[in-house]
Amino acid sequence: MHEYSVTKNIIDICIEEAKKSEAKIIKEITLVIGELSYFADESVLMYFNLLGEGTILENAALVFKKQPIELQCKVCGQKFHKQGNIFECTKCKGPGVITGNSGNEFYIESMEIE
Amino acid sequence: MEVKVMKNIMHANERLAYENRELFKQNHITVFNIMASPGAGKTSVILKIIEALKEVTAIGVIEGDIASSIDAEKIEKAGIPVVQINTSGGCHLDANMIKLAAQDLKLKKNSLLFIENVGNLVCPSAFDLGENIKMVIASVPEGHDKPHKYISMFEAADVVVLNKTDLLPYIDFDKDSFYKGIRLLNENVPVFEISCRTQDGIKALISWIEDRMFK
Repeated sequence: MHEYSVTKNIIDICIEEAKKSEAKIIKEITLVIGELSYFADESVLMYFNLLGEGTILENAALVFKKQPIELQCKVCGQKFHKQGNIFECTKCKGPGVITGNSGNEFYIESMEIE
Repeated sequence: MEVKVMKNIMHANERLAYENRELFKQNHITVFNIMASPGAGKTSVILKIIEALKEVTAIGVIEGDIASSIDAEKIEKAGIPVVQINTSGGCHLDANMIKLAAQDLKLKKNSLLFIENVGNLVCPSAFDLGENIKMVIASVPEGHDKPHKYISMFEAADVVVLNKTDLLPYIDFDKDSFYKGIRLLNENVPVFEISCRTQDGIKALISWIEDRMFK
């Protein structure tokens, strides 16, 4: 969803952070993306390659750390991740509920710079 | 060399949303972000709230649509200050749009502000506007599977309204499935079943809103 503006945001934030660290090149950017954050990797990669041309992150690799939704079983308390669209507990088949803010992660974790 | 960044990708919108939220808080304005598919009843619900509460408190409305001022005209006819945002293709409102609209609206202190978002069950949930309450409106004709399909929206909701309950006799709407879908994502979210047409359930929703107004 909105991969163009999301990619532009990523690039702007990384270039600003790189200036603070006096980086000459950004080699790698690690993104943490929760399962509830709609995000099409391939579209982001495409825009990244286009928008990054001629900048210090021109050849940077994008690493997507996907965070699954964490669920907790209402019956036995087991914490688990959903299997496809099934929210049933992997231990006892009881109903699971989403824990905390799990699945909403959407941030730049770190960069590898030179 | 590794550099820790730890910055939200939506950082710019988050910052503006924070500023909006602070401004609303300082002025004791309770803000609702109303989200739903096109046609679910966002404007109708707002009009029902206006009908019930306009003698009790000052109300302002920000209308968001891709085009037209059809909804703003309805609110204006009800005697309530309103600003229409036309996004010209944008599928959601963002914090910057609300910042500018709120300035135009000249909101009163100790009031209610209803933001009617663009009709869309996908994108709006990702854009904090600075609201206090995210109200998600589903409607019976849309079917009972919406919470199963649009998980981000229903997970983010602070309150869910099921509108057009007067159509239940005519539509195969599995309430158990609807509630199951919601509870998996959002265990304790209040759900109000209403019909804007017959007035059914409106009182309970109004009561809930009144309890949440800044005192």
